[in-house]
Amino acid sequence: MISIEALAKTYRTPAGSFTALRGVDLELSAGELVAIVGKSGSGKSTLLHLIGGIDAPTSGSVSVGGRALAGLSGNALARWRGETVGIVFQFFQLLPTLTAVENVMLPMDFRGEVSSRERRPRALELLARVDVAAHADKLPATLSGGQQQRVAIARALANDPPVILADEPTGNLDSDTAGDVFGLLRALAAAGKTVVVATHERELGRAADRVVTLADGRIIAAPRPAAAGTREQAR
Amino acid sequence: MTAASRKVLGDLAREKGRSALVVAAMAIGIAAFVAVLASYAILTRALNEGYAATNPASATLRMDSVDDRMLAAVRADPEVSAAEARRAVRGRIRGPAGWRNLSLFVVDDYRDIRVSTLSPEAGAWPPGPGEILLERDAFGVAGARIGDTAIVRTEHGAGTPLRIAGRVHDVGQAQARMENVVYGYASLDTLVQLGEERFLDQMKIVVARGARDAGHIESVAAGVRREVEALGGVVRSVDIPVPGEHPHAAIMGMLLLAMAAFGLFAVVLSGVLVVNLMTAVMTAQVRAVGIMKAIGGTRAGVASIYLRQAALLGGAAMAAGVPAGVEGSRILSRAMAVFLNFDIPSFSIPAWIFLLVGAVGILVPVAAASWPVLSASAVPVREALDDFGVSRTAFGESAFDRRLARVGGIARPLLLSIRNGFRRRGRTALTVGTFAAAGVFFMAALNVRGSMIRTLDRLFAGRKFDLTVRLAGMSDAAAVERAVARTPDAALGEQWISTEAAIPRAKAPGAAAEPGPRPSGPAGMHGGAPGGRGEAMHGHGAAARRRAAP
Repeated sequence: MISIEALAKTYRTPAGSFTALRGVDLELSAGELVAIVGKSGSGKSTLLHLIGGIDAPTSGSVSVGGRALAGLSGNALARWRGETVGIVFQFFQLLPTLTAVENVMLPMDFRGEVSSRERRPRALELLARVDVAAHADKLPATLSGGQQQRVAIARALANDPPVILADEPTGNLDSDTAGDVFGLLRALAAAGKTVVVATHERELGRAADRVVTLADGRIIAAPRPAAAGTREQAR
Repeated sequence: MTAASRKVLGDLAREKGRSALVVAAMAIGIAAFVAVLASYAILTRALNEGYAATNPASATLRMDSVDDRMLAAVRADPEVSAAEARRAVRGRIRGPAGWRNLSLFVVDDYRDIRVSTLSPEAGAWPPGPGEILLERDAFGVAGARIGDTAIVRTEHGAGTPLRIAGRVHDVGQAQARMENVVYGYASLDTLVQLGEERFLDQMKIVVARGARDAGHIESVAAGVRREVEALGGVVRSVDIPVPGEHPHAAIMGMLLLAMAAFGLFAVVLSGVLVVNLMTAVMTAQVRAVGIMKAIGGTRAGVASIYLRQAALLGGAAMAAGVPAGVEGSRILSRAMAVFLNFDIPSFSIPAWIFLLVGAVGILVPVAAASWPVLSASAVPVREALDDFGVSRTAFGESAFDRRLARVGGIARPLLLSIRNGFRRRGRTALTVGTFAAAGVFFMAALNVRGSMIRTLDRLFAGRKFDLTVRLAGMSDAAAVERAVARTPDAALGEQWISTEAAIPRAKAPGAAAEPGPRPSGPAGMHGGAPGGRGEAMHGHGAAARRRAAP
C-alpha cells in the first residue's frame, strides 16, 4: 500500500541545516496498523508528513496505492489527500468555529464526492462510530480532549480514505482515553485501512501490528509481521 | 449550508470587533459614494427636466426694440416654434435690507408666457400696475416679504414705490444670493411708472427642431436676425446658451466631482482597511489553512472561504451604507437644490447606481482581500501547520533585522516596540501608506482651500477699487474726475465705458471668421473715456476689452 524508498529530508534554517530523515526504506501493507516510535526529534512526524504529502522529501520517493507523490503540485496533493489519506493530529486541529459535525463535513465539502444532502447524515454516522454523536452540534471548545480526538478521527474518515495517518494521536490524552482512541485506530485497521501512527508511547506501540523504531532519522528496528510480509529494514 | 459556508460565518462572528470596524468603515465609504452618485443623478435629472419644462430660449436677440410685426414674422418662421419679447432693465431697489442692485424683467403678457416660463409660487399673478414680483431667492437679498413696499429706481426714473406682490421661481436665473442681485418681474405699465419708455428689447426664440444642436440654433438665429433686420429692426447681439444645459449645470458638476473624489477615496481607504483586516485574519488563520489543505482543501477551495468572508463584509457594509447613502443623497440634493435654486420633483434613484454600488461594494473588499488571502493560502502545508501567527520567518533572518538589532542605547520597551513594528513589514508599510494617503488628501483639501482664498484675495487686490458707480449715461470725463476729487476719502477714480458686442464665431484654423451671432453670451466691451487712447485685447473666453490709457 505504501512504499518508501531511500527517503531523506533536510531542513535548512538560519541556524544551519538539520537532517530529520536519512535514507528510510519501508513497505506498509493494506489493513496494517503500524506504530512509528522514537524519541522526540527522531523523525517520526517528518516521516508521517512525507507519507501524507504534507512536506516534500529532499531525496527518495513515496508512493501510496501505486501512485508516486513526487512531482504532484500542491493542489494535486491536496486533492490526493482528500481522496486517499485521513490525518489525525496530536492537538486535534479541529476548526474552532465549526461544530463537531461541521468539522467532519468539511473534507466532504472539499472533495465534493458525497452529495451535499448526504454529507450531514454521513458525518453523524461517522461521529456515532467514534461514539461522539451526542456532541455533533457542539463547538470543539466545549468538548474534552478525548472527544475532540474522536471527532478528528471521524473527520479523517470523512471521505473513506484507504490510509489513516495519526501523529501522536494520544499525546494529549489521559491513559484511559488514549487506550480508547488507539482501540478506534485498531478497529479501522481491522476494517482494511492502513493506519500509520507516530507515537512516543511504546506501550501503545506494542498494540500495533508492527512497530517501526526511528532514531536520529534512521529506522533502527522494523520487525516484519507474520501476515503482512513487508520488507524489514534496519540501518 | 455547507461546512465551508459555516466557517465563513463562524470566522466573521469570531472577529466581531474587527469585522464591525471594517463594515463601519466600508459603510461610510459606500454611503458617501452612493450619496454623491445618487445626488448627481437626482440633481442632473431635476435640473435638466425642470429647466426643459420652462421651454428655455434657444437664442436671445438683443435689439433696440421689438414690435408686433417682427414677432409675427418670426413666429411664422417654420424653424421657430415660439418667439416672445422681453425687456431687461437694470436698476436699484430699496427694501428693508437697504439699496440693492436690481435686474428687472418686463413681460408684456404674463398669462401667455411660452418661452423661459416662470412659476408663480405665492401672492399675486400676474403683477398688476405698481407691483413687482420677486424671484424666490431674491427675497433674502432684498430682506423683503410679500406685501412690503420697495423703492425702485431705474436709469431714467427718480425712484418709484412698488408693492412686492408675489413670489415666482425663475429656474433659468443664476442664484440671486450668489449674484447679490434682486431679480424682479413687472409689467409694461409698471415700467412706464418707473419712468422708462414703453418698449421691449429682447426677442427670445425656441427652435422648432434640433434644440440641442448648437450649429442648427446658430443658423436659425442668423435667419431670424435677417428677418428682423429686413423689417427695420436693429439687432445688437445674439445670445445662444449651451443647448439644453442649465446655466448652473457646470457649477453643479464641479461640486459633485469634488465630492465624488472624496467618496471614491473613502471607498478606497476602506478597501485598505479590508486589506488590514484580512491580513490580520489570515495571520491568525495560517494554521487553519494548513489543516484545511491537509484534509483535502485546494488553494482555490481554501481561498474561496476567506474571499467569501470579504464579500460578506462588503454585503454587510452595503446593507448599512446604501440606505444611509440614499438618505444622504436626499439631504445633499436638497442642499444643492437650495444652493442652486431649483426644485426636486422626485428623489428616485436610477437602478444603474444600485448595480454599480453593488459591484463596487463586493469587488472592492474581495479585491482588497485577495492579496492577503492568496498569500496565506499559498503557504505550504507543513509550514502552515507549524505557524506561530507572527511571522513565518524568524526575526533576525534578514540583513535588515540584523541591522535593526544593532540599534541600541534606548529603553528596552521602546526597543521592543521598534523591532516588533518591523516583524511584519508588509503590514507596517500598508499602515504607513494608508496614513500617508489620508494625510495627503487632508493636506490637499487644506491646500486647495488656502490656495482659493489667496487667489481670491489676489484677484480682489488686483482690481484695486472699493466701489463701482454706474453712471446713467455718457458723462464728461473731467466733470467726473472733479466729482471724485471732491468726494471725501476717495483716493483715486478711473473711468470705464461698458458696452456689449459680438465676436464672430471662428471657423476651422486657417479659415476666415464667419460673420454672425456667437454661440455664447454677449462680449463685454469696456473702454476708456471718449478721446482716450484705446487698446483692444482678448481676455477670458470671447470677451474683448478696451481700456483707457492711464
